[in-house]
Amino acid sequence: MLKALIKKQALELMSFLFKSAKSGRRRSKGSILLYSVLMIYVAVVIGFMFFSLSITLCSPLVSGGLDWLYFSLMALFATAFAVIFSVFATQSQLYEAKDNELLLSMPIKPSMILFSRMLTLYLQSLFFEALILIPALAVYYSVCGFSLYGIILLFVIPLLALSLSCILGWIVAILSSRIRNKSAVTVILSLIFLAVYIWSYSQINKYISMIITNAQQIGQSFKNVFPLYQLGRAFVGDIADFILITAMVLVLFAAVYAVLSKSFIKIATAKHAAAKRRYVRRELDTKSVGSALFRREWRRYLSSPTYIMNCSLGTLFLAGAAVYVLIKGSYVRQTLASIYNFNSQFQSITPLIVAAIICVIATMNTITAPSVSLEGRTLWIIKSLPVNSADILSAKLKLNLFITLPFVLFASASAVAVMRFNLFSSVMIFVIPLFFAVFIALFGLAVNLRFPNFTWSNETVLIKQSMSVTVSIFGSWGIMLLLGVLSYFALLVIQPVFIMSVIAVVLVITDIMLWRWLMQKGAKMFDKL
Amino acid sequence: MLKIINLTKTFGDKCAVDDLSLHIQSGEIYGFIGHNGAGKTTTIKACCGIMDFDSGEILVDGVSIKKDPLACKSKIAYIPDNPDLYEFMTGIQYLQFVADIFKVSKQKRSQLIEKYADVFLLTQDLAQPISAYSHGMKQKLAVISALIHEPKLVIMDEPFVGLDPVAAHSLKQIMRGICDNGGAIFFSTHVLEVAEKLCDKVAIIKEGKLIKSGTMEQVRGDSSLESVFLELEEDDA
Repeated sequence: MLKALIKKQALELMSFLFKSAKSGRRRSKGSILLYSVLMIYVAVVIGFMFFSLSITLCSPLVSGGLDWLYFSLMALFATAFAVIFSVFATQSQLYEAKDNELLLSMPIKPSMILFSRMLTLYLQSLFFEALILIPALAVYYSVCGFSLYGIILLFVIPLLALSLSCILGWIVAILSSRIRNKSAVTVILSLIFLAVYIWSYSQINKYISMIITNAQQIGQSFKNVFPLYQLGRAFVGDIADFILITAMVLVLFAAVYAVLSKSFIKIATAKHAAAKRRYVRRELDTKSVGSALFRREWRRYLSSPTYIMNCSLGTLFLAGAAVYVLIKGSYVRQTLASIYNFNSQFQSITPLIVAAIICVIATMNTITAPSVSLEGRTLWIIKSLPVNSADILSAKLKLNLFITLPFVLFASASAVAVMRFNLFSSVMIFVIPLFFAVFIALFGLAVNLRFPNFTWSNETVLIKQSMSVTVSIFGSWGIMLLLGVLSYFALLVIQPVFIMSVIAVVLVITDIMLWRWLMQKGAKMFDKL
Repeated sequence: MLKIINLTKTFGDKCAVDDLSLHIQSGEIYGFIGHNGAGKTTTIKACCGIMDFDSGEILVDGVSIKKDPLACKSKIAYIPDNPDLYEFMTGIQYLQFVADIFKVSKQKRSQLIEKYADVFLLTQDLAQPISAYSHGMKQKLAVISALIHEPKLVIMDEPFVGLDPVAAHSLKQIMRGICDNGGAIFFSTHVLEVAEKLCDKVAIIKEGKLIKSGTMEQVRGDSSLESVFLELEEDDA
């Protein structure tokens, strides 16, 4: 029985490899091979990243007698990495597993169900930790020689990550079921995670150098942090600390397992209902048809963190870039001045480059690209109501423009304010990105009308991988590339000012034509969906 | 109120609806009966302007659904068999959206939402997101949204599936009320007892073709609707 449960868990865990999330069908052999190669590639890249980090840290720390600090840091990274990636798996495989009730209705001991789930989760944690600890151990052994402690701890430490994931997963499961505005919380957390990631990525070299230069001081501080010091020493072979750490991890895991095993049925069948909101009668407002349709799009957008995070990252980066340029204004001016001293011709093409940068960032806003497909199974509602298809499409466009244009203008304004271009170039820096952003919105909608998909079961797959989104993103990049190449060759014979004027005129004409096409033929295509 | 004239709809090689003609008059509750896959939903969707058709004509209050779909849709309310509603809205937001599209006045919408939400015991749940609704609650909300713009013609696909007995009883009374006020109801059902008790007229469809229609008395004669239906199915087999 346990074998069958473990087999089921293993199949579930590997299902992404054998089954398409988009169609639910079994992948072809070629596709399985391709995915396997891709997964191995990703694992190798991550492993190599930490291998490089290990090489950078190992020798200086070992030569300073701080080999325990090396392991404290690597084990800390490995545990944090495993917890981040396992916490949501814990939530979906343990607390909110779809087949919990089905399995509990069968003649299987709950403890056995729990054991099979925990085993899979342990293997996942082991995999994530191994990506960091194997390179770390390999580098250490090449410098100091082999010892068995590290190998044993490689299998023990994932239990710590698993225990922490179980505790955090439980908290996340409770919070996510009780929070009313899940969408906002998810977006805020994702933004914080993104900010921390970008910040860490940009600062990592600085901190590595800092660790190497100030190793002794950091080592002194770490000695007071229980159990990081003991953890590091356990890896290098201190028997007392090895026993202490192993025992601590095993006790923590046993405690978590005991609690879960005792209350598994309760946990598996719990329904954490959000606090019910009672309707209070109030005066109802009225909206025009256009406003009602726009509000519908707005609500759909705000309800989906996946939609927000994947289709409007451009807004975030435009705002970030604008603020950065404003804060670092003098630095930007100095850099440009030094470039102009080196190459005076660069001055005349700077406005074109600035406009192109804003346009490239704006291509990240693909809100219209999945907007028709997002109607999904609810398409019947809008099709049965007395609404013009052109009005429905307009509302989708307005949402994209509402979320994009203010930030495009903000980015243009900050660039113009800081870089102090002449009047014509300043106007172009507003006009080109503005009409390009309108083009992206129109283009995404047209592509989605050409490649609609209403049979999706997973919104995330639709937003991230659907044909319309892919064509929309790569299509807009292709158009940017084409404009860039044409501008490059045109610069050899004509002035950048003239090129900008031509691009602006072409964009205005294309936007008008595409708009007319959408309101006439596009609306008819929507009618026939 | 609703005239279906020689309606034909094919999907590839399969003829889902074959030369179907029906006439639903004001004041009538018209039942539409047939086995699974007989062509009921296709006919209903064509009448609501959701699905295009190959040939024939559908007139709503004398207006062609092909020529002026918006005018027809403004007189129709449609309730599908599976109420997939906007889960990103709350119940009241969805009702407000429908009322805005049909340009229902502030006073009228307040009055009708209050009335029907009370009838279907959904008032307290209107502030809840639709994603938290059960199937029955969604069905009730779909029914309320269909009624708040006072349609002349209500087209329903299996409206009683998922409704509790109290809600089903209330819906039957509301259906009769609409017809008494000059409206018309066209609905499909598998529950023959309901059709027998509720409908003024009934049409039986098989493999896209109309095999019998008329007043309840004309169709069933001295037997029950169930025996007639089974007999017709066997005869045709």
